[in-house]
Amino acid sequence: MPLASEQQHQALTRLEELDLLSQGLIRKAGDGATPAHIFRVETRMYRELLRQTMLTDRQRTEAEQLPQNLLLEMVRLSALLHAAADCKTGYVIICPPDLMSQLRLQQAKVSQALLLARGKVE
Amino acid sequence: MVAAWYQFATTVWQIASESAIWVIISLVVGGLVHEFLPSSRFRVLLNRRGHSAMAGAIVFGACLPICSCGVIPLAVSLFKSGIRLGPVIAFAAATPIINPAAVILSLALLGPQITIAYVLMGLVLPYLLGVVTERWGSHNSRTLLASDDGSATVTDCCSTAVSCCDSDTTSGHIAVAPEDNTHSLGVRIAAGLRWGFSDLGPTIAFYMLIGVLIAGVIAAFLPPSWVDTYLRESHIVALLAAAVLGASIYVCAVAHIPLVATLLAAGAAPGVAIVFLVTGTATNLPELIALYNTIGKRTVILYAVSLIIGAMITGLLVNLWLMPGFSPVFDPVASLELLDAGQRLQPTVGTVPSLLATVALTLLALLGSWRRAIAYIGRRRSSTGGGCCSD
Repeated sequence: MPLASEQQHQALTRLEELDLLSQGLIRKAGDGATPAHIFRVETRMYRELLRQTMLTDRQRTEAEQLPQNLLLEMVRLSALLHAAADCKTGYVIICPPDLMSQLRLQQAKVSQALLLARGKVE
Repeated sequence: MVAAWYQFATTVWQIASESAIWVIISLVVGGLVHEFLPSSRFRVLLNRRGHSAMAGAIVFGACLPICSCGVIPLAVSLFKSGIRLGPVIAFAAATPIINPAAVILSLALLGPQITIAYVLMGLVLPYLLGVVTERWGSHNSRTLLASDDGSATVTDCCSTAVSCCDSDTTSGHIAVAPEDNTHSLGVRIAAGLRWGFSDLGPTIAFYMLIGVLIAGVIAAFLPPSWVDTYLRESHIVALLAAAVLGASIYVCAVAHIPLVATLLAAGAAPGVAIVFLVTGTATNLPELIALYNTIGKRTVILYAVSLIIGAMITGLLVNLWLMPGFSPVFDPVASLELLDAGQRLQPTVGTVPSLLATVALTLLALLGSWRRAIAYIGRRRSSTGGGCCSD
């Protein structure tokens, strides 16, 4: 495998790990039992890992970079997760149904975009 | 049915706990405004004729990170302190629509074009609402108060200066403390806080409670997919639905910008998205009901109708400008940086202060309900000839 593809492969693997993290966060946002401070820390972690991956990706040439559309969808998901982190009811996170449904839709879009990107790389 | 009850309970709790701290802060500031503003030069500044007072109120409001529920006590206290209706309404509308954090988040997620439209709408719409309500709104609530001797609070049917027979008091108007500059600073601060929490607080909290309960019922019966159903279209009915729904439910600009961003990315019309964002943040049922009963019925009806019509016209113009084929374009890394900056500007409230404020607001609402009940019983007694007003 050429070096550029290897780097892209690694970056995509990192994004797939983030995808798993966001799936877990959305599950936690919906179960109504997750302490708000834990949810907030994990949401911030998602954002920081995403930022790190994007900054590393920037250093590669344009042809070797991750698809911009995928990154944009993940930025939107990160913003939605932060909005969910603000929905604390007492000590736990309880999200309104409209936000939950948008979170699930956005998660599905990110997973779909990841699959597409993986298909292009391999 | 259980799901509907759960949704009702969580919505009521969410609105109350999110807005409580701001309502309490606003009551403190509102009490001080009521005590000090009538004798200060700031009042002259806010009451100047022409456009400058309205513009000043909008700019001042746009800098405050307060939601539409939190702004009620401050707006009512400004009105009761003698500020013109126009600047008060402009302030009440501009404060929740625009704040620095919301503008930065909008730039990060909605792109520069929508942000320009959002900021323009957030500045122009409050101005128009101020002009319309000042021209045609009801000014009588304050006139009635000005004639009030006003040192009393409704605590007992017959022992206060404003009795249960005073229809003004029982219809939600708040007594005005007499202007007196001879007392020391500490005494005046105490008087302001007493007015804020004893007169204004229970009245506002009572009407907010009614509004929050109705908002809870709407949330319980609104299908979760309503956002996808109503906000993805671009025709006039979708604009109307976005405006009416936005004005009814509780929407916080900072929390809803990500939601609007995903809708826009999925192909929603930019005009509809912005109409929902602006009407949603500008007002909600708790605010409308509280203002309806404190500032005046005609004013609030004019305010709500003008807001909906104004937002729809702007939504149509935004659609004409950006459609078809609009898609917000931005740099992902810059967007994350802006999101961080926006969230740093958004004050976060700890769980304990938030819970304490919610308890305080609930107690104020219960006190307000108790006073209503006492006043109602007093009226019933007086109408049957056995009350304190019969002599």
